[in-house]
Amino acid sequence: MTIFLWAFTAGLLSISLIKDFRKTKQALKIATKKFSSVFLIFILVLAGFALLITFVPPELIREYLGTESGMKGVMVATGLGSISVMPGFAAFPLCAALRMEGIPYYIIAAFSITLMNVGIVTFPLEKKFLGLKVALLRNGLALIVSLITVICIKFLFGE
Amino acid sequence: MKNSSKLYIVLLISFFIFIAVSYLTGYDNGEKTAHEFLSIVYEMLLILPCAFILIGLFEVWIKKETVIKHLGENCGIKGYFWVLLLAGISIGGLYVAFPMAESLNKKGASLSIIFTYLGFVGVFRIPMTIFEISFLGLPFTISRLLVTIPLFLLIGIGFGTILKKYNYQFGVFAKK
Repeated sequence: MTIFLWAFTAGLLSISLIKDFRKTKQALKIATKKFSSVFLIFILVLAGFALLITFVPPELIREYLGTESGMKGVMVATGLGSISVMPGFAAFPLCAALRMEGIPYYIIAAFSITLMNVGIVTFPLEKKFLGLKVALLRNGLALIVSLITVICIKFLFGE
Repeated sequence: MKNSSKLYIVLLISFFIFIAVSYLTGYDNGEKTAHEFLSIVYEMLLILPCAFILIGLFEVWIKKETVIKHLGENCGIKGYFWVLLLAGISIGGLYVAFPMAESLNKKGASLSIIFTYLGFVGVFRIPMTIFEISFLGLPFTISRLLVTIPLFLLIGIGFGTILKKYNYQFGVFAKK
């Protein structure tokens, strides 16, 4: 997986380099800038994760988010995703770390999709733009989309 | 922004002090935390540079103005394709999406297009998707996209059609 990613990146980078040296240089500049802007929070999330893995008993994580958790796991992940505000740059490493602990993909989907589409904290802003009824409806529908996706992922990956 | 990075630094320093003290006193759980931390940081550092280089390349080669040009009054069916692309090149969360939707509204894009945009922007921001693929793998991301994109398209069109009947006005200034 990681090798493919590196090969793909190297390939695109070389094409870009051949086509336009200055643009490529600018792209690398953007990359470094973004990397350094999220680096702190990134390390912090991983530190938090290391603490979590050490101090929360594995049985507890497995019970609430593991393969056996089923509907309960989906509910917990959906709840967490809906109330948290987290940049994707921090969220996906966290998801990957959970994955390495054996948390099934469909639970991860429940968390990551609601995180991006259902916003309790951003609701006041949304209400301003859409009005109360439409904002409620949009969030409700996003929740349903997330659940449908979770079910599909569960069957596709056979977990 | 400055305050939050100060907080991060304080938290990180406390974390490292905790690790250092654990090693000095031979505290098992502290040492275990350090091992977990290092192995996960190592895994992530193998992926992270690629993800950011791809995002950088993407931002340099695709310009937002060209896409927005194709959205507006009478953009028709093709509008849905362009709005997917626009969602793809959007950065930031809903805080940026709503002002963007507002400016689409000003340009005369239909309500269906605007609500489709709000749906797509949550599931198809390309920098975020690159990040997701890097960390969770292509099969996961593709299956997620295959389900969410058609659903949000339907919801967007549905919203647009129904709200139009109620003479709904989009945007901050339309609300009491």
